[in-house]
Amino acid sequence: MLSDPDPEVRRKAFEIAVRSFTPRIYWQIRRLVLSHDDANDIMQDTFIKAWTSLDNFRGESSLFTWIYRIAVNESLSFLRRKKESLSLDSPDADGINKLAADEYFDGDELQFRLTKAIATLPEKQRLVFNMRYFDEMKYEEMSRILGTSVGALKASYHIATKKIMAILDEKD
Amino acid sequence: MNAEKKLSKRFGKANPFTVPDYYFNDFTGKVMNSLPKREISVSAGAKAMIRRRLIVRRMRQAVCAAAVAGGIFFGVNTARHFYSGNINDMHVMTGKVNTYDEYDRYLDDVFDHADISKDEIYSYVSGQDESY
Repeated sequence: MLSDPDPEVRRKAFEIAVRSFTPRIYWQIRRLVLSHDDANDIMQDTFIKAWTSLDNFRGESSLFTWIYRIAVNESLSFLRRKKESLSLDSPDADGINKLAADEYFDGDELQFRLTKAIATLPEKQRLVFNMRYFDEMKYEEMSRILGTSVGALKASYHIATKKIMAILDEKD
Repeated sequence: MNAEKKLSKRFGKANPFTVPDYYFNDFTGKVMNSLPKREISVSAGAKAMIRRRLIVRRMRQAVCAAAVAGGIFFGVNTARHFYSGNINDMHVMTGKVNTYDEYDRYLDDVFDHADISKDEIYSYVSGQDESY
């Protein structure tokens, strides 16, 4: 349907894709950037980019995987730009500091500590951890999205969990 | 217990983040309204993929049509072979009316068996023979 010559059909097909993919992609972005407003902006940019880049979709992966990959790249670009613009030791200290007072954060003390520990990981390692720990994604699917080997993903996840445990044990 | 299981046991996997009410319901409409309205051209790669799928679909249709035609041909030939010894049934199948000669041969057998001549039968049927 996305390759249909009728622009109305293509638009309708894209609308269906947006509706079905949004929740899963949103939560992945949100766990990375923490703020709802930032996640919302990245989501909009993701789908606008997907729409204008449909020419480049060759059908080699699923549409979901392709759009998810765009969302991941947009999120990582956002975090990099934020890192460059903030003169703090921890690039995400700003996000974490605001999180406690964020009206869209409903977690208890333990969840806040876990979120803070995850935020100290390098962006890509944080992404791998979130995909595996919270979304319980299979390594093969993660490999298709991130373009990284299953072995490298397993190693990254293993290191991430050990780091987080070390941070949380230190604070206890 | 490995690190993941320890984490999961202590901190769980619940989602502590929330969204404004009706956020997901409204999001699709907002995105669609913000999309540029320009025509999107289909890439050469996508066109090639669509062409390949069309060819495969047409080949499947041709194979199915050939199988059906072969089945009909085989069925008709089998039926013709099966019914070739029974001319009456064949004529019933084809809708042909039996010829006068075929009825006549049949009646000859009946008359021989009943010891009645054909002329007696014909005169009875025509009402010419008043003895019956």
